[in-house]
Amino acid sequence: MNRRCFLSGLAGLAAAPAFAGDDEHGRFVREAKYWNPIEQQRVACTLCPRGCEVADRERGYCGVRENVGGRYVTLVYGRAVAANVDPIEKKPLFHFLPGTTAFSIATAGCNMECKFCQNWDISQFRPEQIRSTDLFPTDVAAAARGRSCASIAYTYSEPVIFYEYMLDSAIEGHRLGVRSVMISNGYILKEPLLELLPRLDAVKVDLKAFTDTFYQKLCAGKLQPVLDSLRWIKEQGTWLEIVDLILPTQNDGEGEILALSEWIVDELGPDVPVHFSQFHPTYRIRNLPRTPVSTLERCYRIAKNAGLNFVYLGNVPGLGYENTLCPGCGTTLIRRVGFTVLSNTLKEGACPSCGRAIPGVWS
Amino acid sequence: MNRRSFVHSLSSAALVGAFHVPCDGGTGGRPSGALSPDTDSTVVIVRRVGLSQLKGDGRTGAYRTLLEEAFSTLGKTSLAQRVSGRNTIGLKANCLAGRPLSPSPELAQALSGMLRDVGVREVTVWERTMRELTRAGFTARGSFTIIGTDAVGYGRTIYESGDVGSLLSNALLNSDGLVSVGMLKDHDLAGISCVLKNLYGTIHNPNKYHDYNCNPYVAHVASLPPIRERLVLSVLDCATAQCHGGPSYKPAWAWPFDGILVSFDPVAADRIAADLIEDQRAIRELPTLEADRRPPRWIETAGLMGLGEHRRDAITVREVIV
Ligand code: SF4
Repeated sequence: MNRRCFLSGLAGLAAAPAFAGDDEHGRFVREAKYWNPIEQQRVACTLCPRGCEVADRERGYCGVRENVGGRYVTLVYGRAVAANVDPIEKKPLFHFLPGTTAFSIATAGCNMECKFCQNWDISQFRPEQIRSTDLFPTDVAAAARGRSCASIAYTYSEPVIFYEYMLDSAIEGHRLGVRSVMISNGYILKEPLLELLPRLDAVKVDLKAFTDTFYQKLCAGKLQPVLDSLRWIKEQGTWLEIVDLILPTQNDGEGEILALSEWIVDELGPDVPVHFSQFHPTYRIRNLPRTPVSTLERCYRIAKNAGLNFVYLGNVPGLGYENTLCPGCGTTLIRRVGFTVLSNTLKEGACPSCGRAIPGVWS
Repeated sequence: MNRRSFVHSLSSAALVGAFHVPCDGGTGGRPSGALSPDTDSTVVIVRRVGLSQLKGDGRTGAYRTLLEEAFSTLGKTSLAQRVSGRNTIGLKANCLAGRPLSPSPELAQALSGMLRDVGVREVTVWERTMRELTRAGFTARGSFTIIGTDAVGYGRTIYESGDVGSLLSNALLNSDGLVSVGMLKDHDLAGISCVLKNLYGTIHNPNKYHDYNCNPYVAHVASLPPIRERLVLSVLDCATAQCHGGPSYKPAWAWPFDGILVSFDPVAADRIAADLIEDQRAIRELPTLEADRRPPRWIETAGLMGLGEHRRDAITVREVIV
């Protein structure tokens, strides 16, 4: 995403100051929902698996939560650094209201540091370092509705770290009949996730690799908590799709792709859509080439052979790997190029040829 | 709630600088910088009874005396040699804890004067935000310019060293010399926050580097080429020190050390600072930093990376009372 368009969705909103970073009146500050006091005015954050223990006047790893005299607060409630109207396919969510748009928002900050982050210029900064604007939950819901968006997407950076803002925006959105989707790394603890899921209508999780080494070396995170989150999301019945960005030589081994695919089939079921996406050099990984299409096609074959019913290739538009096919009879049900839906022949969520129900949220 | 600690801003120029930056990576190798194998690893501690109680000109004068004593102990021409050829020197002050536990503006005033005396044209005092500087008592009235990174922004290049990849404050990049002006104080994660940990204030993403008691990150930040090339001097304001509960000010754990600590070797300075804090912890029957699960292992890492001397028996400590 081009930074210059981050705030383009805000055009027409009233009284949006150019800069909200100096937060003179603490208007973006709210008490955090998940934390415990510990000794010496320190606090333990219980929102994500990182489990930061934070001293007075210090911030957690994500840079958007601060200990203020022994009380833990979020600094980004209503502090949007991005607001755009995007096709839902851009998230990507392919089995969730295809052809609709999502009012997409983000704040600064992230609880990982992926060395290949495409949006590092917001995810790896502190809120006061980035141009932002006031966009409180009621504004988000109204803006989404006013722009005829079917959903609000919490995206671009990492929504887990703006949890309170996301939760309240989802509640406000539902009041106005606008749904909510979270585009996340899945790095969140069980209790906050279980509180959040009833407010969400779909979740896309980046399963960045299937080795802990990759997570530790390239993301400053761990694999297991992400796998746990995927299971909990599935158990709760929230619509789930998975993206795996394929980096040449880092997470593209046949064995790894097979293990990942088999794990999804076994633990989450064969109907979870999986998107293998093309990497392009960015941020701190500039010495690797774009992922060859042949590598992505190999991932596609491995995943299909492992039993996944819906496999897509991302960032390589026009090759036919964005279409939704009926796993029963092979009929092309939804034809896409890039983020554009060219045709959708689903009949009440089922294949018009063989009648097989296609999992997803279609209306 | 104290809002002042999270009210910051960044100018539009700085914001523009933060976007779409090229990543040129580390330059590799050993930069021809301020830290070299022959850096003198002497650490000088100069104390004056009642320093922490002094105010105004009297305090500035006292700091001047202490600094003169320190540089005299390090060698008469040492400061001049150290800053030779550097026109603009930035004093990176650690003002996180507000006035009670931040470097004194009077120390900066005295040091600025001495730097000018040896030919430095411009001296700046800088920190992450103007607000932090103001809270610590710095004003534009001194013989130095005060700069918050929130006003000047970060550079466009991601500098990398080991595990660290960061943008650097333009306050640093716009100067050709750096003095780390820290405090003698405890840190809940790093063990201590004195000379090298203060340098976290030069990068845009310090919150990313607190795991594992900041090891090896403190050393990696210090070895980012623009920092390593510029860091010429380390000065700790130890008028008031703190042995526990840091990095914010906790009066129960603070004590009047009534002195300064000066060295050309930042690693040696931190080694000795850690010992001083451990001594005070022992007096108060607090567990060692090791027993408290936050040993400052990054000191050894920094030494092994060639940033200075971490071995206690290879460091000369001179203590002077004036
Ligand atoms: S949400 Fe932020 S502060 Fe909380 S544990 Fe995760 S990284 Fe740390």
